[in-house]
Amino acid sequence: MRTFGKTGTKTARVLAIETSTKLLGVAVVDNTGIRCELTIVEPRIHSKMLLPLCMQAMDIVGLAPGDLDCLAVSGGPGSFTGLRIGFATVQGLAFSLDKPVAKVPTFQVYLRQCSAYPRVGIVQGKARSQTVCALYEKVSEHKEAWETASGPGFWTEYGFNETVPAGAMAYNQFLNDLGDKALMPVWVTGDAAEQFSGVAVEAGTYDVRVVDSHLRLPGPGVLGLIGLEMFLEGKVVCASSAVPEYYRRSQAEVVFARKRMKGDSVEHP
Amino acid sequence: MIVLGIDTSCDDTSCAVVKDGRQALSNIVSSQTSLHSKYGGVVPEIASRRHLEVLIPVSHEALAQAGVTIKDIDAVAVTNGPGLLGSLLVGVCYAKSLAYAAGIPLIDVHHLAGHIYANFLGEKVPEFPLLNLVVSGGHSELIFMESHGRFSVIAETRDDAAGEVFDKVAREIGLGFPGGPYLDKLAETGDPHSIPFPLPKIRGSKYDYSFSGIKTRALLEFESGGKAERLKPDLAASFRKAVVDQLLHAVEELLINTGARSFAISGGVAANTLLRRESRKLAEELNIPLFAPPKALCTDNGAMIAAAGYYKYKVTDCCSPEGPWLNPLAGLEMQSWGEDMQ
Repeated sequence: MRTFGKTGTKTARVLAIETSTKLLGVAVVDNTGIRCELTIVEPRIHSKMLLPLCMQAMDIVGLAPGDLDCLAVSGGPGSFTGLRIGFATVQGLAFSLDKPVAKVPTFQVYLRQCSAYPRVGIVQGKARSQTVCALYEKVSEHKEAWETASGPGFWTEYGFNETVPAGAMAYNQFLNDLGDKALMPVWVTGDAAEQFSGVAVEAGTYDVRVVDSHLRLPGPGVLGLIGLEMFLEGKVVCASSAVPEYYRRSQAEVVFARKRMKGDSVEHP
Repeated sequence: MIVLGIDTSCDDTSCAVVKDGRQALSNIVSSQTSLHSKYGGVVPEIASRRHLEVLIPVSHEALAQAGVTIKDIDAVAVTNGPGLLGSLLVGVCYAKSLAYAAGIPLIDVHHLAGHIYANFLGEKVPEFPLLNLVVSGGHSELIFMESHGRFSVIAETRDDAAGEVFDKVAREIGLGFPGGPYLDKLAETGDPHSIPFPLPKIRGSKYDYSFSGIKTRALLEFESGGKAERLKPDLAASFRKAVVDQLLHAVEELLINTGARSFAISGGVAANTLLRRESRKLAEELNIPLFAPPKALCTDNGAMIAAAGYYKYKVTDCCSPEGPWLNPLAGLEMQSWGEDMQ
């Protein structure tokens, strides 16, 4: 077994924090797997409940903050405010403890949860202005085989090929990006999967299937498992570099850029 | 006792290390003015994003400049309102987890209490009873204090805050953002008696403020004069005088009636040259000491939050790990210390 950390402990412990959607979750993960996973699905309680939940999870597994080796956080895309609650909390912990942060792309969490499906669409963000979509397809059942087959520049995770890279786009655009309708069905996940499927059914062009509800929100346990892998592979950042990937600019920046493109004089709002 | 103070209530990110509530060992402020100036005001989403980017560098700098490490910090104090919700959230979440991981108490501080306690940083501190005039971009209030943490709000603004109208008028006459300091500078060159501004009458309270009327009057004056460049100094001077006159109109009466032993001004507008001058004159006439923070401590900063946090900790003596329940939506109403504990 690998050894790491100042004390040469043989167990890496990760506290994982998931706040990118209406699911608020905390997990403690180590080499043996998920030790504790606490979740609440309720909007607008994240800032108030996150730290008490962390404290409770740590108490349950009998750890003190200083016993942690790494903090894992859902890196986005997701609710802007939700992401900031998670990151600000992780920054405070990491700064105080002087520990690294594994910034786990939120779509990796979805993908790991849906790894049994061959073709996975992720649609996150119910608000029209915050939708981010991506499409992943399994090229081979065997990761090694796939990795040797793929050239550089591909983003891979468990045999998935990122066919439509994660980006801000409208439902209709994503529908078009799904490709030939003769292809196999798309299993969609993400907190806006149902809305998207409604749009798809209306358009009547693609076979879009919504995955089970327990897979449609990113869970902290899976997040922690990926975070632990990232920690072991050294793919961590220091606390000060831990900021979310928003995938979208603020509304003020969008409006400002649009006005400037039109050549309008930019008046103050 | 060493307190780390954190303020992210609006567009400045600030951390400071303060010893015993009096001595600021460091006070680091990262300003976002340049990010927001092209929008003509603070954009909440941009401000929140920026806070998260600079909080740790600012914290590092604050500790380094004070010559301490996180292990030397005895408590964390953080602004939990009022302010921009998204901005407050970042500071509050950060402070909560930092305090939890370090195993030290967390103290929530009302932003206005912070401004008031900027006057307690230093050798000479105000004596109670104390009358405070707190004026900034978001507030214009007269707050009376019988002792530490006993706040009674005597007057507040019914509409715009004084700093807000300074910024808005400055923006409309083309002085840039944030316009308050520019307007103040320009006003020094104009005639304050050139344009008369009547003192607004406010129903229900003879102490409350209202600034939206004089803001509109100033803007109409500017438009009717054809927005000419030469109007600006006189307009700035007259407008500034109107705001300051209103801010101070009831202070003399209140100082006498309340038996106050000190008068203190604080908040961003306390950096205004005329307000400082007129306040000093008034205090000297009544033979009451005036307290006004140095200009760097007038605007939002972490040191004032740490100072208020220190005194709050001493007065209430009940800051527990319950702090993690701290909600940044709380604290909009200014409550005396001890009464805001659940």
